Amino acid sequence: MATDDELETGDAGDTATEEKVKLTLDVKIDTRSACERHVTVTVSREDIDRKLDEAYSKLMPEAQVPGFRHGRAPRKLVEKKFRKEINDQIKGTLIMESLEQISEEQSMTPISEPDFDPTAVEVPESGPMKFEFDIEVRPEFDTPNWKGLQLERPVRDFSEADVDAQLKRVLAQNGKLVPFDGAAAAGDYLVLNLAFKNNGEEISSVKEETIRVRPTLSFRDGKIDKFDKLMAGVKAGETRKCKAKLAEDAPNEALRGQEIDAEFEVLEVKKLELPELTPDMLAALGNFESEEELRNAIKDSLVRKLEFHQQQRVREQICDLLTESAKWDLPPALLKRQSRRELDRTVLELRRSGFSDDEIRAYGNELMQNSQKETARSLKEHFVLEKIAEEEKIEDLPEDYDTEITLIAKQSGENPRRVRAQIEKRGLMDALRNQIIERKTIELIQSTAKVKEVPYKIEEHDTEAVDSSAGGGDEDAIPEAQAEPGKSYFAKETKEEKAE
Amino acid sequence: MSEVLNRGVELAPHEVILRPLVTEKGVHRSSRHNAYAFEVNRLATKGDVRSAIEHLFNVKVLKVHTATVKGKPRRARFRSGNTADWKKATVTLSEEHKIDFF
Repeated sequence: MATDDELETGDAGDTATEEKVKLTLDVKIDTRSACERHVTVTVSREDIDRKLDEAYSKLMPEAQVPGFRHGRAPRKLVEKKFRKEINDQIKGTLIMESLEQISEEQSMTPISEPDFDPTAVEVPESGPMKFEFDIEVRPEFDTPNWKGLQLERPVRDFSEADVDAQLKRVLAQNGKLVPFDGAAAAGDYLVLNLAFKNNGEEISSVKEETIRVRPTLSFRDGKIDKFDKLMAGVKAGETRKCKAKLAEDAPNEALRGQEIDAEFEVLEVKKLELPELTPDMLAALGNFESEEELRNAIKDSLVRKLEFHQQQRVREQICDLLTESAKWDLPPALLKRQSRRELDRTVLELRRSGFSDDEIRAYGNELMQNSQKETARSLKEHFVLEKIAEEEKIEDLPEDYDTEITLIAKQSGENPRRVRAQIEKRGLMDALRNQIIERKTIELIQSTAKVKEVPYKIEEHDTEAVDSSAGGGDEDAIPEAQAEPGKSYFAKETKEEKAE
Repeated sequence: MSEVLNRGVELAPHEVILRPLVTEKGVHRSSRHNAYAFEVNRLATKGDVRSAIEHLFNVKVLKVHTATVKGKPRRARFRSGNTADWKKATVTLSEEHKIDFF
């Protein structure tokens, strides 16, 4: 054991001296766009030879060659026998070291892993070793002035009436839908056959969908405004028509941004009957022992939502102010990849702030509709915030992760350890890290900003979401990443929640 | 060569020399005494080895020692047997010549 230790310390000493020797690199960086760089690296022959020599010297004392005792084989024979292994090993260390050195020497801030294939690189018999790769970097820009920004901050004390309204909403989730023979009003439920037509030709349809009459009806690729007015006073058996506007990045490319005809055939009108607040009901809602306790919980969640809104609002303002000067273009490939990450991040944030699956789904639909624009904006925000974080040396500490995860766990009523495992499994740790850094940066900016308080209006939940595309061109036809992540988060709910 | 002809078998140089023996002892000998060891055909004579080496490596041979190495007993379960006997030749070269095995 003692000898092992000695060996190890000996090795550590070796590597320490090795690190001191810098590689002679010839690095060429082509700027393809503000964010993309193509890097060509040439490692000099001397470096390769030196590394080879080091590797063989290290191997010699333990090389096993048939016909020779341990370490007694002549060097030439060892070189011949182990050439392939040593070359692979050298290749790895050379690439790693040169990448390290490049990232130290060059003033690039990479935002992705370098895109290159190590197996394609060969250590040549003679001459220098060459390899190239593409990398995405943070564009260079001057940090905007972030001290002393003028911000508005929504505030509100929640009254009993607010809690009552929210309580109603909570109870509605456990309410019963009762058939109603008469005209529908806002807030009622309709069982509909939906059909979308363009120039009289049916593009898509949904049968027997239960939809609540709310001011806005959203689809994966578009929305209908004033839906409540359209449906006001409708009775079973009637049909109403209107125009639906498709989003700019709807899956069906031919119809992007166009208006199509929507037809709603009402099959049934239903009213929502709220359940009584019995002890059983209280238990079902989350093991509450009294109505008082439930009300307190509801108030808590309202406060948290306000906090989220404040944060969001402040963030929006800060980002608007900061990204004003950021005018660089972002490559589309990067945008596409990031849009998924962005979705993950937003969902995490929403869950942490105690939004229900229903609300998250509605928000997710909206997000997917203007994903590209949204992503470009938030990427710019991210770059600016991260740069400020770097300059101000803001770092993510382990306890930040703990608080964040505990919060999410509290919201979803799960075990924190389980939440952490889930986040790790989904690879959302990165998103969480960004979230923490950005939050801290925003807090910093906020602390220096001049804040004006404005009253907060409780947002009416006025969007009803349908989990399908109005414009057709479904996800099967266009296997884009944008539509898929939504499914995993938002598709789950439809049936159970609206079950009668 | 004539003897070989008399035996009714003619071995080409590459049939005489089967493989070089690259061992610690062999490396030692080659560096100290300029002597190289080979496994050779069991039918080959010292003369065959000499001419084969001279032909294959384009060197001048001073002397050739040969030895028949007896096979080793081997046993698998209840069946016992032997590895094959083989012939080893150690060829000493004149000073100005060398053979590089690796």
